Amino acid sequence: MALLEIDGMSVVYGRQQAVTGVSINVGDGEAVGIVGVNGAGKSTTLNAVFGLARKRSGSVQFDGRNISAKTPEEISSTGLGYVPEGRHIFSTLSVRENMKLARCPRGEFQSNLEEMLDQFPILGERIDEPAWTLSGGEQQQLAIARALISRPRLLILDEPSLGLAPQMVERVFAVVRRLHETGLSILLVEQNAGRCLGLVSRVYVMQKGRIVKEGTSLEMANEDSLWTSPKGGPA
Amino acid sequence: MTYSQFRRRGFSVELGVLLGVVILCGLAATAASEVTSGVITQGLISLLLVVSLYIFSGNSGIVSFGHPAIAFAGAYAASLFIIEPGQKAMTVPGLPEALISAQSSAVVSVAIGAAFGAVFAGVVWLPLVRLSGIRSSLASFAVLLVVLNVANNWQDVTGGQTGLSGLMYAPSVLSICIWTMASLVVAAVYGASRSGRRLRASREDEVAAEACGINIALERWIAIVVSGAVAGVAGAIYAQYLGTLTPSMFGLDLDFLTVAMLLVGGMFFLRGAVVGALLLTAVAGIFGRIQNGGTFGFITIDPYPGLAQVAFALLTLIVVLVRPEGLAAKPPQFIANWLHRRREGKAAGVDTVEDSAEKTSMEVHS
Repeated sequence: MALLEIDGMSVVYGRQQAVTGVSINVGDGEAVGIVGVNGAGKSTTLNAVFGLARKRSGSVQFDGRNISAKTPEEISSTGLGYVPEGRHIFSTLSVRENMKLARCPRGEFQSNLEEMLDQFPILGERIDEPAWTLSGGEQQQLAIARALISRPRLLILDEPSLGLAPQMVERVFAVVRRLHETGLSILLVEQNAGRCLGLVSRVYVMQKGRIVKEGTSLEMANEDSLWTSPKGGPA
Repeated sequence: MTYSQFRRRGFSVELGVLLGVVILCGLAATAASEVTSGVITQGLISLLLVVSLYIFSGNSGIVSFGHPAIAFAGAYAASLFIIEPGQKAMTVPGLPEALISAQSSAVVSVAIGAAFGAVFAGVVWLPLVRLSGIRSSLASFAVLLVVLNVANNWQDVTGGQTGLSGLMYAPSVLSICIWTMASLVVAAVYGASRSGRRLRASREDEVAAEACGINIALERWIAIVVSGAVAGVAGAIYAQYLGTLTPSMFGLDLDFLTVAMLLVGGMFFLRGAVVGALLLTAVAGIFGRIQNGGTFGFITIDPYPGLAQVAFALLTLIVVLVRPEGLAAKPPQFIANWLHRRREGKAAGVDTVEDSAEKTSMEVHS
């Protein structure tokens, strides 16, 4: 049985249909990617899964429980971690304070924090510094660590490479790969199809709010449509 | 010393300084002439109300125009307990017999005002805490209008436009100072609490806060209840100070005054509430004396009706235009220097396209 099961989900913004009948499955311990050009509906899909955008129809099941009507607060307590697009860290707070804001059982915070600092040593070095002094890559690591401190079973990542220099993208993806190797399930949204395919085992391709293709990374690597945008340019 | 330790120490020092300012105001009010003492006392009462507004608006980032309504509710509840039963039976005959005969001391009545303010805010704001930005501000203004109109017209229960009079206790400068200091401590402790931190996080980035599993509506509700308790105290003290309670005392003038004081001082800072309340009270007091005309030393000034309001409005306008973050928003220079030295020392590598721009443009927040 899939850990995350999105079935026929649609999202409407005003009169605009942003996502139409999207169905996505993520198995336990699996890494799945969603690729597509800007405006394809990838981020909206993730927002709707996490309760940040209102679903018009369809259902979302996580670990056998229906979370379609749950609030983000309730969803985060079910074992789903979300790193939204654009890092979204609290820049005026220190690294430690950012971590403290994440949902975490009271008695477990310190041990979970220490584990995170082992995984993200750079955050340990700057634990009491304001988050705005971190570089972009470090901020992305902080956003990921903050989502992980509640020990989620599935980590949802929205465009983790956005705005980062190639070297830093490499580092962030290495972190995500390492996390996946420890058994963490991952749902990754990424515009950069090459990077996404290198990390995940299955890929969904979105266009204009719909899933237009799905398959294993190996199959999709040979798909021409994955490498070109609908207008003919590179994806 | 780490950034967090430095901020914690800065927090204690700042609270200590603010409490010291209130004590100084109290001493000045005791030693000054009757007129000046009145201005200072009004400044402290204004500060109470501005602090209550800060607790909600400063931490949530949502400007509330409804706080005078909460203050009125608190003042009403408190006043009922310090009016002679015979007078209550005449002015508010629609009240239950138990309330007409109820009496309490001044301190207990203020505590009742705080409790009622908290309950009133908690109940009325329950549907409002899901709103953000201007919609929330407008909704709070609507609450104020409803409360004022109900109070003005429900003669048998509220006393209508003439309100309640014959409040038996007038608060001393000492008691006003104690309540003001208590409100500052409440605001500071709430701000440092887990709930306060979570609410400020949602103010900074709502999406990130929700992604962290923060229940923004719940945190706003907690803030409005705490804020409501302080507003209830402010209303009770205000009514006791004037010896009467009418809905018009909590009308649009007070609403504008309170919001302007917080914005002028710095909406996101407790020190901003103190600076704004005391500065604008001083401006209103000084120009209030000038507008009445008279001889000041060698100078004779003709009366200029409305001068105080114009001066008050102009100062607010200038601050909003020139320093929109508020007069007290900038951290003391030594904090800025310390942060700068630390930044220079660490010199983190620039690894994103926007990093350098971000870092140079980033405001230093305390």
